[in-house]
Amino acid sequence: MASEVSTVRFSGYGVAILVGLFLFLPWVVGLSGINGLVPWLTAEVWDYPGLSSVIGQSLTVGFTATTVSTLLASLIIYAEQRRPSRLWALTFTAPHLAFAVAFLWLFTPFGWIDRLLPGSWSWFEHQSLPTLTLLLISKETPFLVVLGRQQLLQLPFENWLLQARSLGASSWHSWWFVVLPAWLKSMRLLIIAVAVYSVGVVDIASVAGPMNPPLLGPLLVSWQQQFDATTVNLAAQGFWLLIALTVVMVAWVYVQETLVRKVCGRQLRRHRSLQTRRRAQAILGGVGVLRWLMFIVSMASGLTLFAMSFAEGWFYPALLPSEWSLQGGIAAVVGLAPQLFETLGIALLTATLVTLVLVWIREWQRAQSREIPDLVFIAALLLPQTALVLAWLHADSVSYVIRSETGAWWVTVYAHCWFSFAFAYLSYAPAERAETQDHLTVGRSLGFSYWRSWWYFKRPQLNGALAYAFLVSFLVSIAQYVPTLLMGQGYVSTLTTELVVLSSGAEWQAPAVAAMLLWLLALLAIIVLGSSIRRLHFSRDKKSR
Amino acid sequence: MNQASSTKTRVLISSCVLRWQQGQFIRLPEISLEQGETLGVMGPSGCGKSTWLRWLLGVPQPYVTISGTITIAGKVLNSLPIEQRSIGLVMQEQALFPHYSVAENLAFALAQQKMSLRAQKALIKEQLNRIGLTNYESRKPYQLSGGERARIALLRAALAKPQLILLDEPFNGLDQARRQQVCEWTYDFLRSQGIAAIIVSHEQNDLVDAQQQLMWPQSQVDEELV
Amino acid sequence: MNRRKPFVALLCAVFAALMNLNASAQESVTPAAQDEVQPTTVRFYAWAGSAEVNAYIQWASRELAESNRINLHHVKVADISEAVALVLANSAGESDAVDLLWINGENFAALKNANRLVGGLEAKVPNSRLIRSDLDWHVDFGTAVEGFELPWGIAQLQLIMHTKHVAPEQTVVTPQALLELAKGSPGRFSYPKPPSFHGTSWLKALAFQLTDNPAILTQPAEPAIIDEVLRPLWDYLDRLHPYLWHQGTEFPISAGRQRQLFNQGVVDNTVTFNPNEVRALQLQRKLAPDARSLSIGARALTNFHYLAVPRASRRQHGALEVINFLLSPRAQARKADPQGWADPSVIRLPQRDLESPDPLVASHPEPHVSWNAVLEQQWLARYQR
Repeated sequence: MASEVSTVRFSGYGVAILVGLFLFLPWVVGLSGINGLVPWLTAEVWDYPGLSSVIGQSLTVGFTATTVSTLLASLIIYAEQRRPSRLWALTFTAPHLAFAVAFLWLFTPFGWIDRLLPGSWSWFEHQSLPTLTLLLISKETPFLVVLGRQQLLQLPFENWLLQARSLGASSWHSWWFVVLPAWLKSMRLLIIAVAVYSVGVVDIASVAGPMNPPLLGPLLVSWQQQFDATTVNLAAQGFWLLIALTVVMVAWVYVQETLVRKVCGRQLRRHRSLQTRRRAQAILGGVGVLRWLMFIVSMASGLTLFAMSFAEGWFYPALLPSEWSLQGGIAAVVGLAPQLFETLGIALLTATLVTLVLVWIREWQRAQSREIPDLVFIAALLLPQTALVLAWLHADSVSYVIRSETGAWWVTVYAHCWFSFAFAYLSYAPAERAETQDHLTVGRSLGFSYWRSWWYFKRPQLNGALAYAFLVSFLVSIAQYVPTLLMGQGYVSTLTTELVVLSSGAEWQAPAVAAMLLWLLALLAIIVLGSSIRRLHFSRDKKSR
Repeated sequence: MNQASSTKTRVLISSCVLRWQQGQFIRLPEISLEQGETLGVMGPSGCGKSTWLRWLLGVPQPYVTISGTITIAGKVLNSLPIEQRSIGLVMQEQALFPHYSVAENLAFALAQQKMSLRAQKALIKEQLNRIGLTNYESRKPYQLSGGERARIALLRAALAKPQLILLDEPFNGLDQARRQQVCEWTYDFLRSQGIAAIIVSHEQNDLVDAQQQLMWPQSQVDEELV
Repeated sequence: MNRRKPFVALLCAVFAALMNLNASAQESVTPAAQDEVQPTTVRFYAWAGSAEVNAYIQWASRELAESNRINLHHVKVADISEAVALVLANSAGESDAVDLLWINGENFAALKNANRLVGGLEAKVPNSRLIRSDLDWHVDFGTAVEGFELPWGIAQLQLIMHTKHVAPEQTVVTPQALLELAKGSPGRFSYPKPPSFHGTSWLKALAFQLTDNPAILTQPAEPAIIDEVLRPLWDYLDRLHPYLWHQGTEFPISAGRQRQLFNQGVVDNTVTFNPNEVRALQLQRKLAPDARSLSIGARALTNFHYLAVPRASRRQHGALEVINFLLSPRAQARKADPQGWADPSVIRLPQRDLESPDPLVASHPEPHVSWNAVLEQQWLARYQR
């Protein structure tokens, strides 16, 4: 009955077509912009100096970051299955470029901690693979934890634990042998997103990664920005190379998942000790330390950016700058005001549009009583962003539209929406799925229209999830680099693009101010949306019991 | 209750009271089950039966305080963790681990018994034969019918050699014809294995074959608390 | 349809608010927007890695807004090749994107050869007659300028080092002396990675010092002689690299990055193309106080940076007006101010000291532009592993 009535409501084909266009147009346009320059054996790209290092290093970063952050995330999820900590969300929201800038200042040799305790800190070199990998892991682990919890809540994992323990397994074995493989499977798309991002990473890699040669992501973007015929060819072939690396990473995620399942399947039939308390305690302790470590590093990074923004004359080996200057910092903030407003404006618009589309798509699926696989909505995350944006750039339709300022601005917003949508969908859909339509149906039986009863009866249940989806798309938008740079065509200048431009010189204050503003923007968003999200956590606590 | 009777009885659940925060409570009669004996607990849904089953297992319950003593073969279980109580559980839904094959599901129950992998394999084959599911080892739960799943879930619980099996609405989700069939099979199986069992259901028909019957009591209001 | 109205209204409201926000953000850059005559917007693509340069362009845009009703919009780029790619990609007619470029070298050559630049600038920009006659700016990296760009400032490649490595009166460091220094402090020296602008320039400067017959470098690079001409350079680098930062396996991605590393104490040297920069940056407390600039060899690599206007620009008139302003005595004097950018003036100024800054040493010209690609490719082939 309910679905019949809903179908009537949803017969507004106009919206359906618009939303469909929103989701699929970028694919069509991307396809039209794909070049045919597949790098066969004789292609120039194979002769590019150091190409084997480029590929090797990109894959190393991809494998390590993906596997380690998956491992850490599963340990954290295990340790916090009953009492999820909110501190991860805080680290998750720190804009990664801002985080990288501060992290380098703190932890590199001759960095601040090294000055405080000389000789103690020489692990994280500038421009090195381990530094980059560590930065990626510390950004991706919270991402997997925060979104992984929601995936976990969709599994009847408490029932499984109960049954496994009633069969004589300790809670430790029950978790690792029964819940972990299922959780990993439910995380597949998210982990692929992480893997794809890591193997093609651009922004952090150009700040912290090796440069001789660089990773494929930054190399491809730098090729793209050259104009001679040889480099243009390299860019076209590099595109396919990046696609190939992506395929390898996707395969790796499958292998990783299958391996875990196989090992667990083999282990679960072997005799198990019941003395697992100590192991469990060790993990609990380790995760506790990690949690506070991450929190402290995040906070210290925030403070560092603040200090760098108002410091003058801060040279090695001085522990503190020769002078604090409020004026210089404030002048820099004022200078960045246009970018601040642009960033805020685009992010608010993006988050609003994304949230509206998100709600509509979920309700549409309800009305059709059909679940469209998540893959359709988050496919954007499964290809390297750089490859997608390059394909758009080469599509005649896009290059025509972005020739004008208005065109470039809207195409940039579109790109932001499209990429944010994937992340927002991942954070909203599980929560929405867990709700029933009962409240809404009751509302409609009282004579309210579909959307009014959605607003009055269903939305209150989903406030937390909606706020969260809004927050996620806001955060994704403010951190967008490649799409803003290439689609904006110099017309759109946000804090993130500004940060990269300012970092191309020797300044430390101006980039620090840009990074600090980015971070403050993210923090502001969390504070504003925080109360709703807290409610979300509370209701989840209830459900998970 | 005297010591002598409790050692002889396989399963004894005594002085059991469920108390809600709002002041309602339910006092259960003493339950004692011999080897191979089944108790059918009948009552509408949402009145605390499943909660009580979980308490028997040793899962902490929110909102309800349950007191009472569980003794199996003379041993008081109250302070033991789930995995050491030797109580099996069969649930209405998600009765099997969906990402593992039938053989893996069954092997999980055998892991605590010191047994070579080869013996394990043979035992699983033999047991599947016995319940009429020959060559089902490599199937995944989603490839099974509801009745097959229910049978394998019970077999899995039994393979762990528990003293008591709890069945929480085990026949839900089966159509009427098959329900009858699976129900009969279940009682036969339990009797043949000589395991005591408590079956909870809201359907009278599911419980007619049980040796003991318990009508879940109506909750009362505690005058003192109000 | 009714029930969707609030959403549409909300959406419209958000759009309107954002467009406003956007507009007001633009306005804050252009205070003269209220005049009854619409100001001309000139989109000026310029590298923006220096706060002083950015502040200078901001000053210029304020001045232009007041006096010329021109809204000079600084489009900040990390590398001007981004803008060159943009101009080259736009094959069809007029465009709004790029009106003015800060450019030189290979970027200029590419645009000039593709016939994308406005010519005859000397006739169109009155202040061009003020340009100093003692400067040889008519050839830009071996490419004849021929009126397609006008000089804006002077650049001279210099090495910056901590005082501890330098004798008190020393103004020159030969490649050989640098090698000895590096041997004495292994892991403390580096140079910007080619093909970055400064990295390639460093190779050119070294090539001039090390090659037997430097005059060949001003001729187009003939494949037959390349190996012989460059062998001393590669031999030298082979010997130098093991003593560099990361044993010469990793290089700062740009001169800017190297200056960061220098200030942070990671390396002991950096390079600059602005001969006045050391003094200016120290005044602004942006460079370690014990930094000194030195010439690499007796003659320093010297070139000019220029302004050019793309043919496709619809606002060429405004762009030319901007160039004229930037070549005015007031703008050039401001540019040379040691408290600001401190870039030497290209025109005659009443205050002579701003014209020809003291550390400007004897110069040698840029090699022919064809050597650029040769140096970059060979360097990558040898050292990018």
